[in-house]
Amino acid sequence: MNILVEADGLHKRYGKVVAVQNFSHRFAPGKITAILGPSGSGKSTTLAMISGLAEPDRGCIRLDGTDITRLPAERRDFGLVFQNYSLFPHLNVLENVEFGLRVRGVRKAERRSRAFASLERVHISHLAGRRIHQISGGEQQRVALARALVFNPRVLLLDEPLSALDAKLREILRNELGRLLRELSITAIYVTHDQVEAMSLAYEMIIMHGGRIEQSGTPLEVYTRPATPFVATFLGSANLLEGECLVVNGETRLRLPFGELPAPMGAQTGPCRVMVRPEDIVIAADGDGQLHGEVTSSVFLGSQARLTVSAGGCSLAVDASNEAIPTPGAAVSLRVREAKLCIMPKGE
Amino acid sequence: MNLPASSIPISSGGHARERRRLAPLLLCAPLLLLLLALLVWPLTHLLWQSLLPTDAPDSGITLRNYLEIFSVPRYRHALVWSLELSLAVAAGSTLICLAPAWLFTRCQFRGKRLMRGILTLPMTFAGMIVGFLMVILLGRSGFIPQVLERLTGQPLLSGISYQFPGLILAYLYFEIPRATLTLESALRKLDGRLEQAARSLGATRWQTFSLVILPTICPALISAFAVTFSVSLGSFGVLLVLSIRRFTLLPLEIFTQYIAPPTDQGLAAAMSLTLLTVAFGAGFGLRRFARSREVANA
Amino acid sequence: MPRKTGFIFCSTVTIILMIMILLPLVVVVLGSCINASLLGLSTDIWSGSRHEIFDFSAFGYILENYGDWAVFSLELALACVVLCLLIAVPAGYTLVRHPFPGSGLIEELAVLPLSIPGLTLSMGLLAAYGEIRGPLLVMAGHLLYTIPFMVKVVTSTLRSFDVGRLEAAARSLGASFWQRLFLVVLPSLRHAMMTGALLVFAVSWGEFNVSFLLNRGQPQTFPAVLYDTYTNQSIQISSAATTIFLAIVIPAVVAIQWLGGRESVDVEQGA
Repeated sequence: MNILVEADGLHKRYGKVVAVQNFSHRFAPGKITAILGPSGSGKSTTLAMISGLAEPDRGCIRLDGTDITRLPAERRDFGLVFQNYSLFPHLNVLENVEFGLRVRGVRKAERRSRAFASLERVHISHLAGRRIHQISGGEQQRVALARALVFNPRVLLLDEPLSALDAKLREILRNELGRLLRELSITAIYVTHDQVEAMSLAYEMIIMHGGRIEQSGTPLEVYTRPATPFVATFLGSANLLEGECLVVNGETRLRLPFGELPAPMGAQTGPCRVMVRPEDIVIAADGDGQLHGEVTSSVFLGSQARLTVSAGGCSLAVDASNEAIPTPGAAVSLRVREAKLCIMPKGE
Repeated sequence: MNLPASSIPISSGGHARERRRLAPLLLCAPLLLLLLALLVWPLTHLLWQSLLPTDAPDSGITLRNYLEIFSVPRYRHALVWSLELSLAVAAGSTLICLAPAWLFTRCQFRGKRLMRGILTLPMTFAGMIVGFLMVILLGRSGFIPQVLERLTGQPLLSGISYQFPGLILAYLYFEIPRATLTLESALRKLDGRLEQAARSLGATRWQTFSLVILPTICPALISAFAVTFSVSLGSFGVLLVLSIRRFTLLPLEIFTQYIAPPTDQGLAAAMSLTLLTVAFGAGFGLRRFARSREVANA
Repeated sequence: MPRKTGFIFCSTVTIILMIMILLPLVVVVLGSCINASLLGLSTDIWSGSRHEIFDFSAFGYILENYGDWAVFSLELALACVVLCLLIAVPAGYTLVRHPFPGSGLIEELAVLPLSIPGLTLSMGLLAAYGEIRGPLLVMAGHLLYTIPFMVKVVTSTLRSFDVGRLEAAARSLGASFWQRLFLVVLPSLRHAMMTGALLVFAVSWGEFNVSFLLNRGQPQTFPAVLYDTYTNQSIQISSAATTIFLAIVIPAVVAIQWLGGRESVDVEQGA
């Protein structure tokens, strides 16, 4: 089922609002791709265009090389899982799952057994006879998934499928969903605003902002090498610093507000923006770090503590282990993991 | 469940745009034709009729028919009485039905549906039937006067249905379902926690009522008042059965104009359009006002 | 417990209202078939000189003399139901799901007859189509008077559970336009159509002013039977006619209530 989906230059506007512009991407066949972005970033509109429920103003969508931009949603054979599940209230669980087979003219006996198999796959075949309003949110989510998978869709699209569930259940279902989709090795596109969901499920991530793709890549790439300040701050927390790369004595150095560091490999000279994650700044126990500052606040987060340190005229977020948490006012010495510095060209 | 703002936007246009633009019109066409033929055209006709004097239809457009309503005492009284009765009934039924509406929206108890069902029974009764029910209950040989006479030996409340209290009671009878249902649906939209919030902020019971409850239910009261007022204004069936001496209502005047020849059609048309203007104008204006209040609250 | 006093006050008022509504109905129903003296009423005004305990002769009288009127009224109500379903359901669906310029106006216009006195509507119809005064014009009047109910029920139901979302789900599952219509939209509307049909039936059955003005000759609608008996017959015969009227309208109203309760369940979980 390794189907290749390509989007090429998709544009969509609603009235004067541009929802999506110039969206181009080759979705990895047989893998989960997450489209991640804050609300209003155009991710759901993109999914709607891929599913056929919305028509792009410009651009095209190809499926294994065939242009399907004008193909109506009902003829695309894409499975779609909605945010609010959109289960049919007048049908019971089994009938909901059967629906996709029924409209394809599959005979009753066969569709019953296939629907059962699909329910089995999400572990809720015991609920087959229930009405939709008699089952919980998590169960409804499973029904929606079974319904979307029953007719062996070529591609599975998921629109914030877990956002209506509480945290614990979301984690359980997320893991199950990831396992199931990898087992089926189906091309899946997963829209979410939750970075943890995206990173734990996705083979590849697309970060959207203001209707545009900001960056795409594997979760590791995007997290460690964000292309823009937006990506850096949207995924996890980040310290963004103004800096400059200089060549001193034949050696490239990075000048930051609080001092100079050896520049990472391949850094261009000139003004730049530098991103460093809080976990990549460590407290030097013996006081011989590269910079010295004062703790202005400290928040206990369970497995660690988040400090705000004022050093060299800027305020830095620093992660500290939960063993010895410095109190506000304490002087600390910090060391930056130079290898983890990420340099971005200075944008406008 | 709090869903995040994002969700799949569904375009209502889409593929095969041409067909979609035409199909809705086709599906709506029967309704549109029906409304044009049975509502717009007849009302236009009626307006035309009201502007022509019946005895001299060729003499051109005149407002004589409308002026006649105000100059002939009988018609003027009918109009004033209609307005007074409708105002009284609308105010009364709105206030009284606040109790059941409050009960149905804020309390959970067994038998609620049964109670609701009973209160909505008179919804489709014609006024004339309600008039008969009042005769049965309170007329000269009605149930309550006769039972009271048995018990006390004296004729009490006899024939009350042929007087104003009986008339008001009859109007209340068929306004109860309308007022209750309108208030109920409006109250259901309100957040019951507002009261709790007000109490938690230290408001006394009276302050809670006057500062929180009253302003928030005000739109509900206005729309219930508007509905009951328009319905009362157009109704005359009660009076067909419970005729009260020297008392008349504008719709009854129109009805008798039409039923008993010789008919002054122009005058009847003018009267019925006056009725329509008042009923619709009051209903529309009040509801619009209620809606603006609702928005202001939200 | 201030909450409790509020509850007691409200339920007392409600119970008084219930008694006020039920008492005359009970008296009428009983008065139509049992000897009025058992109810503590003087018999001569009620039923003349009869003295049996149970007496159903009044019903026989009504059915014999006004049977065809009742049949005409029932036929009229059923025809209204069918026409309203055929006209209002597709239109309501279109108004909600595929709005076009002017669709808002059509919707306002469709519910307009509810806020116009029936008398004015029927005079308008007479002014425009006076020459066909008779059953056909009565039908037109009833249709005009009942269609707002159907339009209202259909549009508000379609809005309440966001049928667009269900349709999108059906599309993603491969359902064509007609499959969506017959497998999703109409089944989701079945309660609304039932409620609307019952409302239309009950309203048409109970309507008097419009029918009385627009009709000519016989048969008339059933409420005209009531008017006829009220003005010309004994109370017992009037009660019998009223009882027949109630026997048709009350089950309809009860069914509307029952369906209304189920509707809200559907709406809640559909949201």
